Amino acid sequence: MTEKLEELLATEFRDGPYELLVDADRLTATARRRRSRRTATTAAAAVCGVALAATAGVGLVNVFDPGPGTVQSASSAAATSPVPAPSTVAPQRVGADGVRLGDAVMRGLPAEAKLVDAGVTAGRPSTAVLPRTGDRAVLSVPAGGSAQTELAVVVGAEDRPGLPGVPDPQDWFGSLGGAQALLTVDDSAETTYLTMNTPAGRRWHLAATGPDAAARLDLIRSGGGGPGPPRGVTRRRRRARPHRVGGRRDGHRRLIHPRRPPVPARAGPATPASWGASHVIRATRIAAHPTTNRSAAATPASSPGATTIAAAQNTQARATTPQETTLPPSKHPQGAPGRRTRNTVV
Amino acid sequence: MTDTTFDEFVRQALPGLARYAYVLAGDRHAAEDLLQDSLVRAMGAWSRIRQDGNPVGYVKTIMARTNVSWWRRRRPSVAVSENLAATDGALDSVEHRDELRRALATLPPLQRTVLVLGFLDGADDEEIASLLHRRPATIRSLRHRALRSLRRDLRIDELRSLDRAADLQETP
Repeated sequence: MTEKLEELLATEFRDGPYELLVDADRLTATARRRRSRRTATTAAAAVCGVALAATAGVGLVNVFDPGPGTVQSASSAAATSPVPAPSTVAPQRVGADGVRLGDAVMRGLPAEAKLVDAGVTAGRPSTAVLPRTGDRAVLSVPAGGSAQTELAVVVGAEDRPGLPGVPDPQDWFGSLGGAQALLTVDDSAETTYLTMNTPAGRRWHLAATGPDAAARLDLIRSGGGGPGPPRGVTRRRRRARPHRVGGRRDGHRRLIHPRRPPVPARAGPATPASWGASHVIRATRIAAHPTTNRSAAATPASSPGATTIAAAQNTQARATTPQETTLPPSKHPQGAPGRRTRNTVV
Repeated sequence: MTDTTFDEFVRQALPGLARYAYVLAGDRHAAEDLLQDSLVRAMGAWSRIRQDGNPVGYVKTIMARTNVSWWRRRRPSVAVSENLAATDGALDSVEHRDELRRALATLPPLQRTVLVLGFLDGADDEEIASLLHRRPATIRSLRHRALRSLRRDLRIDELRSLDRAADLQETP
């Protein structure tokens, strides 16, 4: 029977009615279309694979990359930020110690600070990392000899670049009127950065570039603020230390002159009415730096030793009148110089 | 040039290839799909196939391997025996062939392919094993299982009785 079945199978396969009517042209056209479709699908899959691999690779690199917001030590020296976009509003000097950037005013600058022309700064790339947008000004301050310390100020920037360097928190951060501040020092690029976010929503970026780190820090502090009571505090006394105020990491101590005459209380607004604004970050120097002392001596009309960043956004805001007084010497049993406090009338 | 040659090859070899696909698949629509899939694959390797000198055998090999491939077996399919037209007038032959086709339709593709390669192409176990990437023992086992299944489905006892009856009738 096995032979019978095999014969049946051979006959069936050989002579069975397995005729399939297929058009050759249609079949080849369909095969060609399917072939091209398969090729396109393969190519698309390959492209997607490459794209996914590239994305995964970039993501992997970003995992191990410190990123712009973290500390960058060595690479920042060689990196140069692109040429910043020119501001639509040219900065203007306001008085002897201030500069206006749009509707914001920065005060407390050294008297010898000179505003650098925007055309000069636009043509050369800066080693400092600065935002691309926002109102900006560049000031140059002589730092002894032929050296210059350059201060770049940007306000109201939309982008937030990371600050290169090593964070260096300062003790006067707490007296910025509630502003959040971050100061970094990038020694390889000889630049000190300060970024501040004020409670009013304004964002400041300061970058001081120069060979002297102390001069850079002083310039940053003069522009960013110094020790003083926060905004809105009425007659708040600062507990002063008699011989050393403020700590500096470079080992330099600022000493209070023991025979410094008391500064009489000054009445009246410290800033013009047009600058009076609620967005004021003010700081009073208990012991002003020599640079600031020169500035204060050169500008007696302004608040001496005071550093103010004033924004005139809200002209209907409350007027601010900083006043400085000196406590009677009788409250200092050791004959320490009078503590200077600040009377802010809000 | 390659496309033109392939078109000419398809026109010339299509009847035999279509029949071979039908025998392998056992279903008209499955045979068309099998033929098309095989031609798509052959088109991609047409330059190599043309150099080999036996494009028909190459395409048949593609068909046999495609028919038993894992991807085609994954496709949902329902074994439906078709009522093929009888080519001879003998009633018993028609009944036998119809039962045989029904039984063949129940076989797995691999067993059916082994039977087709063995009984249609006349290939021995080694050739089938080489073509399907199986061992010769596997081919023998597959053939044995296929024949046993066909014997069971074809009710061999009835066939045997019919054969005996036919023999008795033929014997004077």
